[in-house]
Amino acid sequence: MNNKTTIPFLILLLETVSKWNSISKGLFPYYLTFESSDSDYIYPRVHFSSFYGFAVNALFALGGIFILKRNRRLWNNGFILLFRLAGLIGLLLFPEYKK
Amino acid sequence: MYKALFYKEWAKTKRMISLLSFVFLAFVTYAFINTGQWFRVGGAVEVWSSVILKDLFILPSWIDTLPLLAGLLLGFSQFVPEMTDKRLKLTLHLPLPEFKIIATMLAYGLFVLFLLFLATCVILQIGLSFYYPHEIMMSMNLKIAPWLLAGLTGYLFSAWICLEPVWKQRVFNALIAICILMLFHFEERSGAYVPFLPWLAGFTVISFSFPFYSAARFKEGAQ
Repeated sequence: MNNKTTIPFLILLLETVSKWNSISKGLFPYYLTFESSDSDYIYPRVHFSSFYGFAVNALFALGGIFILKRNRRLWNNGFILLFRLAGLIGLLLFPEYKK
Repeated sequence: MYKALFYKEWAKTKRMISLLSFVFLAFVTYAFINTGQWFRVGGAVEVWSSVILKDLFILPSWIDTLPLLAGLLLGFSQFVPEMTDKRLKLTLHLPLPEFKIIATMLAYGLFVLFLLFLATCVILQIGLSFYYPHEIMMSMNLKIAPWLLAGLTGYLFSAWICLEPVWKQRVFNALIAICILMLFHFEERSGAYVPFLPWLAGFTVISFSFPFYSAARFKEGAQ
């Protein structure tokens, strides 16, 4: 990568980082943390960011219909609707057990 | 048949169990020597104030990885020989349902680990109660509880990984196992895990089912 392409790339990266809060709201409808600055206790805390993320999840779930060749489509796509990329990766990692 | 299965597991793991018993015995001995040294050099007031005010942990720091290491080593010593030359095929042909065979093997390992952890905790509890009050001992128990659960979960994960017939899938399983086991090892104050302990116990119970999935794939002949 030469200087002419490096600098715009870095600017784009910095702009993305500075807008991360607004971008993440669209990307992730909710996220999970285990630690908090308000408490010493460790337990799962679910944080909702926005409902727009669920629309993106629905798009992923639609994509999942084409990617996953499985019998239980309703279950699998419901799983992707809830967990999106993590759910899709999970389903791709674990081949369906054929009895 | 169950007796024969237990004997087969014992034959595979007796050396590893002896080694683990020796390591845990060495740990307990070191913990007592260390505590005695603290009280001799610093005095009881200094040690107690450090424990109460600065949350000084009263056991040697390597207790956090010891149960996990024990679980992994026991799991590998028990299930690697089964996967060498696909010997698990012979085990699964025994006159018992496959579910019961795998469940018996896992129950054996969990029982051995449980006994090892229980004996260690009881000896520590009795020995250290001469130095510390009940409240400090309780705090120590709450601090080590997630690590002991990590040992049991690590054992089940090692069975899950070993019984998996496909190497690529084994790597994925190992990555997921690492992510889940990290939840048991947050660096926090004593007692911080109290609300999370039922969740961790839930993870341990759920992970009991994972090796059955690998065994089913093995039987299916997944390549």
